[in-house]
Amino acid sequence: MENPLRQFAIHTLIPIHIGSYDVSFTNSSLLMLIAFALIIFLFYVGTSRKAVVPGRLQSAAEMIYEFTANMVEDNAGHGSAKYVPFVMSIFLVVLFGNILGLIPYSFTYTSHIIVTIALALMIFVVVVLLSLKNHGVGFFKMFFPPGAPIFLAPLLIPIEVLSFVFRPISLSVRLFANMMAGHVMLQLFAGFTVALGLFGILPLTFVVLLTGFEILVALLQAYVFALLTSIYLKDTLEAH
Amino acid sequence: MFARRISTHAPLVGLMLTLLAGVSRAEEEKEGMPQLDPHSFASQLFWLTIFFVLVFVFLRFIGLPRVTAIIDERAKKIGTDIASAELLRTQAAEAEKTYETTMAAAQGKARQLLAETHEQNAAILAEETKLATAAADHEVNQAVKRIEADRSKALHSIRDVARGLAADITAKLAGRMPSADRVALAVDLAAGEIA
Repeated sequence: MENPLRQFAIHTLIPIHIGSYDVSFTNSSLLMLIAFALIIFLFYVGTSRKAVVPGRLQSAAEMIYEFTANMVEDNAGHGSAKYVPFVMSIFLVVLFGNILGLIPYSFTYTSHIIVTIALALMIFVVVVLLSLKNHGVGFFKMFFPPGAPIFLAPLLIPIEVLSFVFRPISLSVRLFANMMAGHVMLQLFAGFTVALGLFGILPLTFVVLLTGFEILVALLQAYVFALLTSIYLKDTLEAH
Repeated sequence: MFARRISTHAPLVGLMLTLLAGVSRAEEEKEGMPQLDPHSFASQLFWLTIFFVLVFVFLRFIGLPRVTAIIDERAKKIGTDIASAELLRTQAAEAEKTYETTMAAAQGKARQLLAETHEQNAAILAEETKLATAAADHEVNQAVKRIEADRSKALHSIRDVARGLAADITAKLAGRMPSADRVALAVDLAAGEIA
């Protein structure tokens, strides 16, 4: 049976080197390019007719926009409308990465921890910088819950700091682990299908069900990623 | 809340999977977890940065303004449509009110006109009737006079005929002609008796 981890291998398509860094265009980069092209297609071609009664593509673009805008508004609160492009970029990049990865023989760039941690750290840095900019020193008040007894401070502050620092880790590992686990499972059961011959019908059925489940996971994880981004961005607007 | 619950469990799941992957890597020396191979990190980070920035710039400056413009345009259109519909409705209501008042005024005027005309007609009719009655009365009087004249004339001629007859009859019977005065007297007496 084929190694179920081989599907995550990076293949160089166009070798590029900048200085001592290998920044070759790989299968991962190709999927990012396809995702980027699809996003542009959806939001440029889809909105080119500017119809009052939207067609399919325009309807999809509007729905994704309103979905994201409502999510940001509901979770990040008042004055968060300026974060919609940022959250939407994250949502779409993750969503298209997850969905495109489910096409057989393609590649899931969100199944690589380096990609998810880069996104999560970027969110973390953005949240910290914006919080410092908006609240100044008041930013550090968020590490002590208001109304808590002061003698609990030595206990509460380390916990709050730790949970804050662990945000990018939990955010990135959640997405990475979900994507990787799903693809490994699919590969394993697909392998069983081949290996078991006639009895392969059982794992094949499972693969079909699992594919549907993975589509759900792909959507859900993109949603969760963007939702948590919105929740984290709330800290930049509201003092605790 | 749901997302929060995931967020508490996911690191554990991820850690377990990483450990599992580590185990499988230990078993298969040749092919480990490609995710942990640092050779590809630079390339992935480089292209992720490029495409993420491109997606962000596109959405921020081109994609989302286009979508929001469409949505705003629709909201505005619906708003103006509703406003113009409201305006038209009030205009229609006003027109109806004007129509009703005009109609009521016209009806009142028509009724008044009708009454006036009726009165006038009645007056004219009365006048005409009076005139016609007078004319008819005159005619009748004339006719009565004429009839009276004719009758007296007829009576005179009857008397003349009677006198002539009486004279003739007397002449035949007596053999001589009576005087006209006596005949006239006798006829008048007889006529008076008859009458």
